[in-house]
Amino acid sequence: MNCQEIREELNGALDNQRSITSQTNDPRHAEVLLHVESCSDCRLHYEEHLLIATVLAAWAPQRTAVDLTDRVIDVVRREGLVSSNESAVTEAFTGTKMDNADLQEGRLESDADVVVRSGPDETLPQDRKIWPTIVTVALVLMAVAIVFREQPGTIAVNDHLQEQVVPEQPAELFQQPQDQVADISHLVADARSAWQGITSRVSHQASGFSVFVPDLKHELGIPDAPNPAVDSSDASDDVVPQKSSEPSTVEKAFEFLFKDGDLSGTLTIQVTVVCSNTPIRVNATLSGYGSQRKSASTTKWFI
Amino acid sequence: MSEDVQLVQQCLSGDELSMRAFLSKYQGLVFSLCLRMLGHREDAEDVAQDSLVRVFRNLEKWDQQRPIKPWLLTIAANRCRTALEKRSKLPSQNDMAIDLASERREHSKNAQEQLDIGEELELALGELRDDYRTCFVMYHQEELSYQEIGEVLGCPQGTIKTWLHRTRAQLAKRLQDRGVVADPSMLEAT
Repeated sequence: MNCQEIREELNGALDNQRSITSQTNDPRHAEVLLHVESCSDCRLHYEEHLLIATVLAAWAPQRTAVDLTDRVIDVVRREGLVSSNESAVTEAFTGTKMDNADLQEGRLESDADVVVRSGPDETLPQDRKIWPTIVTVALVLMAVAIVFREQPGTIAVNDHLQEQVVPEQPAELFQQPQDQVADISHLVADARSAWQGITSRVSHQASGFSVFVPDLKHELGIPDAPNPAVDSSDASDDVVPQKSSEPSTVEKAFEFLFKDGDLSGTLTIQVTVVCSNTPIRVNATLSGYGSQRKSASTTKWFI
Repeated sequence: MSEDVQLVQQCLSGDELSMRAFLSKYQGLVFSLCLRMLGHREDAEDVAQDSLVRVFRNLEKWDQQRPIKPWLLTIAANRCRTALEKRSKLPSQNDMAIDLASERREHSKNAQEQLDIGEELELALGELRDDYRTCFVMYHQEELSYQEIGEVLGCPQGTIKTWLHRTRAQLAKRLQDRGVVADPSMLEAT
C-alpha cells in the first residue's frame, strides 16, 4: 500500500469505530503498521489515528440531562395538539381510545391557531364521505353490468332469428328430377298434414309453436285435395300446436324419401318461428335422401 | 410496525402519555445537538423546545419508512441555524467549551482518567467550526451515516466525509498541543 492508501485505511478504521494497533490480526493492519515504521509522514497520521481512537473510546455517548417535557407539552396543549386530560385518564383506566378524527376535531375546536394540522383535519370529512360514494358507484356498475350481460344474449337471439326470416316472396319449392314431379306434387298436396305429423312425432321443440303452411297448390298447379283448413287470420295469437288430422301423410312422406326401404340417408327438419310481431313467420325446411340418393326438400314456407 | 411508528401514531391521535414518552426518548438527542450548535445551555433549551414543538406539529409529515432520528435532527439543526442567524453576538468558543465541559463534569460517572480525556475532547470540539463539530458528534455520538448527516446539514455525502476527516485531524492536532497522548491500552483489539 502507498501512503494514500495507508491514510485511507486509517480513516476507514475510525469510520467503522475501530483502531489499528499491534493487537489486531488483520493482515491489512499489519501492512499499515509495517508501513508506518518506515514512513515518517504516515507515522504522524498513525499517531493521530491512535489519539482520536483513544478519546473516542473514552468519550462514551452521553446525553446532556435536560427535561423539556412539561414545557413542550404545555405549548402543544395550548395549540390543541393534545387531547384533554379527561380522555387521557379515561384511556389509561379503560384502555379505550378515542377516534383519531374526534381528537383532531377537538383540537380544531379548542385552538384556531393550529395552522399546520388544519389541512389534514379538513380532509377527514371528505375521507368519510368518499366510501359511501364508492360503494354507490360500485353497485350501479354491477347493476349495469348485469343488464348488459343479458342484453347481448337477447340481441343475439333476435339477430339469429332475424337472419332466419326470409322476405315474403314466392317460395322455391322443389328441386327434383323431372321424373319425381308427380310424386312430389302428391306430397305437397297434403304437405300441411304431413308437416304437422312430422313436427308432432319427430320434433318436440316444434310442439310449442303453431306451424302454418300456406296453400301452395295454386302456385304449383296441383289439383285441390282435402286439407285441414287453417285460417291465417288467427296466426298471431295461436300458439297451440295443431294436431294432424291425417297422420298417415307422414308415412307417405317417408315412403317417398325412403321408398326403397333402406334408411341409409338423413332427414333434416329445421323450424324457425319469429314471434316479434304479427304475423308469425315460419321458415321450415324438409330435406332428405334415401339409399338411391333421391332427395326432396321444401323450404321457406311462411306466412 | 416499529416502536417509533406506533409511538408516533399514538402521538398523532393526541395521546399526551405517548407524547411524554416520545419526549423522554428523543429530547436528549435534540437538546444535545442544539447545545453543540449553539454552545449555550439556555439558548439550547429554548431552541430544543421550539424544535420539539415543531416536531409534534409536523409529525404526520415524517416518512415512516425512514428512521426518525435524522428527521428530528434535521428540524433541530434548522432551528439552530435560524437561532444563530438571529443572534447578534455568537458565544465565544471558550464559553461554549466551558459549558460543554461543565455539562460533562456534572453528569459523567466514568473513571477520572476517562473523564479527563472526555473533557479534553469537549474543549477541543468547542474550538472547531460549528459544522465540523456537529458533523463529528452526529457521526461518532449519534451514529448517523454520511447520508443522514448530509440530509440533516443539507450537504452532499462527500462533503460530510471530508468534514469528518478534517475534524479528526484538527482534533488530533489540538489534543496533541494540549499534551494529550494516545493510550493504546484503552483500545480494544479489533
